[in-house]
Amino acid sequence: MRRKHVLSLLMLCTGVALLIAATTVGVASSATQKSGSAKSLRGGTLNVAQSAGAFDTLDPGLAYVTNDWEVLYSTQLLLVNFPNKAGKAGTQLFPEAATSFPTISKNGKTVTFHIRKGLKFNDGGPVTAKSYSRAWERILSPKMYAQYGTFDQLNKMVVGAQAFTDGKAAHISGISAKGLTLTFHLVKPNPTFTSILGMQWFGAVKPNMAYTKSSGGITKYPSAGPYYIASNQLGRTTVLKRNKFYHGQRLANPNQIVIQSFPNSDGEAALLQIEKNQLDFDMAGVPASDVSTVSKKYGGPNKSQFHVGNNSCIIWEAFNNAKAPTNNADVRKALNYAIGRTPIIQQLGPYAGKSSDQILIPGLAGYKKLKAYGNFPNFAKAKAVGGAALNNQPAINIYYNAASHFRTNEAEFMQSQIQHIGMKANLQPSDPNDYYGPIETKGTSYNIAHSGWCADYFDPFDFINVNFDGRSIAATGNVNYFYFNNSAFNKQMDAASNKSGAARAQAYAKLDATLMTKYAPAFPLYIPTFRYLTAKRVKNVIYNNYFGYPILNAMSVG
Amino acid sequence: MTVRVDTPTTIDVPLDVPEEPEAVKARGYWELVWIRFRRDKLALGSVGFIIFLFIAAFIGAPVAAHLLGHGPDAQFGYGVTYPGPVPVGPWKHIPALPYFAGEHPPASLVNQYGHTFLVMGGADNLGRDMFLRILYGAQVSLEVGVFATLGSVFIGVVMGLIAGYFRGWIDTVISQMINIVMVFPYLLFIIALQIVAGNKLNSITLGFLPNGVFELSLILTAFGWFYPARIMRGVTFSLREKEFIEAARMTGASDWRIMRSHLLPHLVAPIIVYSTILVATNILAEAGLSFLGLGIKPPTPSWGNLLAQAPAFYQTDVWILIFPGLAILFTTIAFNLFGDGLRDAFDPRGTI
Repeated sequence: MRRKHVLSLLMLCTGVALLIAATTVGVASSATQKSGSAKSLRGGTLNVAQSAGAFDTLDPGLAYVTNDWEVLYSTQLLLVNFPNKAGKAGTQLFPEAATSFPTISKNGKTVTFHIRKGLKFNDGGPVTAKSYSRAWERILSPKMYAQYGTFDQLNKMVVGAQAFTDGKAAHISGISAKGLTLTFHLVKPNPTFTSILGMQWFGAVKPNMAYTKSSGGITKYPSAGPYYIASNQLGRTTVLKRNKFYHGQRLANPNQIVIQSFPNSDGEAALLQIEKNQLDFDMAGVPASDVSTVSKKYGGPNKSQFHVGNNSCIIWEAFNNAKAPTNNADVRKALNYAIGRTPIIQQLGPYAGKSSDQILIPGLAGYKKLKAYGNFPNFAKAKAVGGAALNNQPAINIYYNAASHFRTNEAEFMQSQIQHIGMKANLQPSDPNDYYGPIETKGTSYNIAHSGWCADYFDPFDFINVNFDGRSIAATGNVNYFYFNNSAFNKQMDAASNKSGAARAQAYAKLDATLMTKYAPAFPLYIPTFRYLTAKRVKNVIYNNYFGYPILNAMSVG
Repeated sequence: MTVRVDTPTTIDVPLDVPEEPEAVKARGYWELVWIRFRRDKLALGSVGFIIFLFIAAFIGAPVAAHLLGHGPDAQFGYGVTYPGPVPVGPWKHIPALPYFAGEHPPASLVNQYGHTFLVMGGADNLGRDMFLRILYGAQVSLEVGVFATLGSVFIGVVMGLIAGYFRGWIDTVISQMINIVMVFPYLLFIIALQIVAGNKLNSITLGFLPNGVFELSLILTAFGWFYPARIMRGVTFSLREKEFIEAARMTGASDWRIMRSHLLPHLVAPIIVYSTILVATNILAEAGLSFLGLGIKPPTPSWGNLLAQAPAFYQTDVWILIFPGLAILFTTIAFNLFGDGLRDAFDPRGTI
């Protein structure tokens, strides 16, 4: 080949090589960019505050409060779980640790799950069927501080669970855990059983996870969810770190989530910090007195940083039906007339929620709007209904969280309204580090305590039977804060729970009406929303209607 | 020739001798103190303010409540505007309805509760009359300030006197007690006390005090006596070596008699001076503790818990911050100026 041709050929080869190189790099960089987009959500530390409150416990065998479950959702690996999606899609369970939804036998009494292979805890230990049978044992064991599972009557759902709950058996005979196969033998068919397993009680735990009589539970333990608890000082700081062994479909965006509890703060400081981007989110939400200002500042709800989300909860004032004078049904009905709902809700500011004077919430089977007591105080009606029962009564103790500006207002307002019908009322501030402990204890000294209920699963049983079945009242760890125990009503609840379909809905509608019009064990207040602000840097805010919180593990600060 | 000089036989020399010498009036110790004190116009002004404050709190408050027809805890739904809620500002007329019944309340309800009234100082977050709450809050703050001071001074004087007079191991023990109380983290103690026994202590009223006053006075006394004790101990040390003490001892006076009759009168001046300053300190301490939710509990008004509502409304209703804040400011300044004036008045080196 002549030189000039060699040179030309060389130039051609060089040019082709350069062209190939350029193309390859372009593809590579494009690929990096694409995968970088997905990965760009990851990273950083999500800084979260918890104002005017603290975690009761993050032990899955004892946690039964919404803020506890909000965190456990990020650390637990459930057989079936709620996805990281907003709206209705976020309330539809999907099989997470399970390979699929369970196989149910023809008679409906045998429910079998197969667990995916290769699932691990954050310490590398394997997740097996025993990880889930242990969770069941911890929610029912008499060796635990509380047997919360009994409130949902789990002890009556599974064969052998009652004997285990009574301390007569070492294990629950109706749960078979072999390798990666988990089988439940039910006492009777239960169409809600799978949805019950979506509760945060039933996350995978180590088969040797201990029982505990401490109300705070075990503070640190291996988890199989997107995060694990790296450190946990109840009432102070909880740190969650990403579990490198989790490869499920739920997100794990922040490298770590730091949650600081400020039980004595009313949320004003956290709000200022969020606005200055020193904090990402406050689990207490925006203080009621600031909602109007914040909403205007950020262009209204759900436009930028200010969000309002619905949830499946009912907020109420629990009357202690076992302590005078609220052990008298006429007094309770009088209080339902005397304490106005709308004035209290107004104090919460805009977008607070809708008033309600019944237990069930819209969307639940059996919900039928009840207008029993009205939204505004009616002192004349209250006096007429209460009659002589209002006279010569001991003072009503109103228990409230003094660290919360709004709860203090609410308590003072109720005190004032009660005085208008001739009764006395005292304010009883709580220990800000332990609000629920005293009211969960039988014989407690309060008459009225603010609390509420959010759906464990979407069935009226969860609202009525769980809260008002007096047979479940124990010495401590109660969920029935009303200490309401009426044998006739217990029978009606049993009958309703055995029904299905339209008959079930009808039965629960009747129970709801009877409960409030005849017994009035509570003062239902409103169906709340959650109003919260996120820092400017927080992206990918996904609100979950079931938990009533944005999903922490989905928030991106990377 | 001789010049005749008439030499008078008598010489009239005019003498301006007064008939009687003018008596020098002896001034008593207290008279001297008063003369020195009244020259301090600021101190006199502060005394006037303090007297006015006591009259306003203990006489004016019930009179105002009677004239207005409601007490400091009465809630009015229209004392707050919505959306918000935002308390109404000063000098507004509001209907006397006990709860918010909508933008246009039913006529029957309006007729039932009748009148409107003027909220001179604005309303708080529950529609309560701020003017009355500040007046009644003054009662609480003054009661806590005075009772805590009386308790602290009593214990401090006794301990300081005993420590300074006896010295030796008694002084060592009492000095260590003073040191312990000085460094004790009383805020943590108060938080723990509130959790354990707060409700019971809060309800002790002795029949006439508002809720929480007794408890807070007790706490401030328990942690405030070290200050006067140290002062009294120091003064007693210096007085102990004086001749009049030795003379008293030589006459056979007992230790307790010497302390009571000879030392204690000399401590009156520092007791009075530091008491007034301690009242201001205790009023500030009460305000601080109530602001933190550890002092006077709602609905009992105190300047501290009135201030505690202010952060929620500082952007919309700054009066909730200003009025109780100014009340605390002027009161503590007045007591401090009063104490300064007394200290100068008791100083024997001061000019008359």
